[in-house]
Amino acid sequence: MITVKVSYYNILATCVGVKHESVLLPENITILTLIQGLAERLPGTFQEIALVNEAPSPHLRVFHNRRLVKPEDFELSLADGDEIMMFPAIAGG
Amino acid sequence: MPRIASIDLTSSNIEIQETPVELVHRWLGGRGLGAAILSERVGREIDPLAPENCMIFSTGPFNGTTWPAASRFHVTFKSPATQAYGYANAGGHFGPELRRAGYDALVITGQAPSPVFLRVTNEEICILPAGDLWGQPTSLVEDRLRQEAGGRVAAIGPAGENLVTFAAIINDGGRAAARSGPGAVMGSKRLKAIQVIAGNAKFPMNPEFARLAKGMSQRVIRFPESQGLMNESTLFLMAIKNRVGDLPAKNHQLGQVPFIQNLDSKGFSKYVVDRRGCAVCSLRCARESAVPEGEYAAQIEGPEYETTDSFGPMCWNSNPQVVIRANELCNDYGLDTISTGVTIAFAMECHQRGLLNDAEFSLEWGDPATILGLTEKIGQREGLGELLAEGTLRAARRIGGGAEDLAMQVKGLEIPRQEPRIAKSFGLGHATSNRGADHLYGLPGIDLAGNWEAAQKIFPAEILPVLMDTADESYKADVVVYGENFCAIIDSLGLCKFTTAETYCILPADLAEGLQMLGWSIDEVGLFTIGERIVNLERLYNQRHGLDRKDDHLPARFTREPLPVFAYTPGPVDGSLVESGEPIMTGQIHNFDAMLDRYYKLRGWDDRGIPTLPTLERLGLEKYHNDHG
Repeated sequence: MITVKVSYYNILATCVGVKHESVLLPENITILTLIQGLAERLPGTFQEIALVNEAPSPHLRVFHNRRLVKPEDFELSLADGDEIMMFPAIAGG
Repeated sequence: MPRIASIDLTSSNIEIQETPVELVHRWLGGRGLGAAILSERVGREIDPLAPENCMIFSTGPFNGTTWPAASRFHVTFKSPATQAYGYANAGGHFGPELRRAGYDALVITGQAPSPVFLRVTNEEICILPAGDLWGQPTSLVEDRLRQEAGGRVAAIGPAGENLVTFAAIINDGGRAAARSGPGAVMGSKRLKAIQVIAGNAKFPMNPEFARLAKGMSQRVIRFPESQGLMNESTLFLMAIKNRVGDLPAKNHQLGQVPFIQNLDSKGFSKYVVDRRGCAVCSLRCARESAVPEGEYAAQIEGPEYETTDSFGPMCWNSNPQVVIRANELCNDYGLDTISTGVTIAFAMECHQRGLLNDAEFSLEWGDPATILGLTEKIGQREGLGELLAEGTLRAARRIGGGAEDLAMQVKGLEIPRQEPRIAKSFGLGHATSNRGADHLYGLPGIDLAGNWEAAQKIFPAEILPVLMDTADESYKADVVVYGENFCAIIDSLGLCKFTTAETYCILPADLAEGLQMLGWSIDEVGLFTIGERIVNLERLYNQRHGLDRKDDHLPARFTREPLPVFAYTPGPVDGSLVESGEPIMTGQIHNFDAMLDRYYKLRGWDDRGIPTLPTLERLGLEKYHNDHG
């Protein structure tokens, strides 16, 4: 098992109920699987912002060890001690 | 050499001079150039609609080149909406055409004895009669002038002629220089239109600049944050803003609607007939929409997010056809869609609270006849439109009974479509903007967009986790100050913010590199000094007109009334949404004054919001210290 620090920002933190948590995960779990698991746990607003047809939504911005996760990088595996940050992505107008 | 033309419509005198090099080195162009000229020429004693007011149509050093999204021209004037500093800008093709015709600026003063239009070419500027165009919609004016002589046209409609305080200038088939009332100033001068014909004139560019611009253009297309704009237009914001409570509804009584599926990009997709873009822009984020027949038959470029929220959720209207038709009416009358929609929503809430009735329109929430009818009446200044044409602040003062609390405005200009209790950086930015409430003055959305990647290049690492929390008010001022300085640079170069301050695709260092290849000796730090100088000069202009801290405030609703945010889930019937029984969160501004205090401190202004002498000396603006105009 690995431990990953996950930080939720803005309305995502409201949905989860905390701004930060340490999550115990199976080894070799991908970033996408982590998000899908969270979405399954949190139907409604979190799920709607995070996923579109089980794929990462364009309105979810994820940082892995403070680097932006690009669409092709969601299948990367997480390692023990990694940090994930999740933001809803909303522009101005 | 680029030139500045001074055109006096009273005397028909036209003078053209080469642009002084030191002027553009100090102010860049566009917005900066406009601010510098207005400050010198229009004092506090001059009424915005008097012949002595100036309109400065200006371009930036990237206009006319192939730099991506270098499509915007700027117009600066004393505003009839704010009675102080005013400007607007617009994309399309007019700006690059003006620059290719060889002009950094057209400085227009006076008042023609009868309606006229300007025909501007590389060789000359002619003042021509426009009596047969007066009273005509902007679409007809543009069509007729382009059929006659080609080029590009910026025109006012009946709203500008009727001096509606939020009248717009419309160019290129529906682009609008709309905010703070430029159409009314143009109408007061009896100037119906400006036609610019550059022909085949090319702006000189060296190969290195052209290569850099091409690379930037490719970067814009590939950039992840560009995809929503490219694929769905600004309407991609509707659904996500509704999800988080940032979709102002019922005059900001709510931040969400249950009928979002009608008004998001999918809801409008059935009306899209084409995709459009401005000059030299690879994003092509605009859509042409049409309602082919029926009582709401219309065809427009748009609608954009701001227009859709103004005539949709704000007026509690769920019908996209009504939004499209209202947009077309605004274009033809020459009206700012934001101010028009917000003003109608204000009238509806006044009616809801028993403060306003009308013999002609129900003023009930969502009533299409009220929305479309009042839009026309405002443009005509007839019936209730006569009152509403003054904008929400002055209308509220005449209505009385507490109506001023229902006027969603700052400094006399209606608030754009962000919810200050959710998007707090935008809320502070609406309050501090020197042209009245404005989302584009600072575009402070780096936290709302979750753009950590850009934020870590700008702000100290230790404040980032707090700064990026949209609910935390500690560092919202930092986001606003940076955004305002950056946006002043962007507006002065003639650029669109969708490739810059909205997405942070093209960064300040890239802009400095582009300027260097055009022969400028400037770096990123130098650019930001100019950006800060522009914001300070605009602040000084307002100070000259008696504005200070008391004017940097939001309507009481945002600091007194908490905003409930609900979860919505698909319901059992036809996909319509069902609201959660209890709110999942509450949007609230806790200490606006503390945010404002930090903003002033970061700016180097005193606690009344007045730039201090050391700040002015640092920016080379000391001659304006204690200037009362």
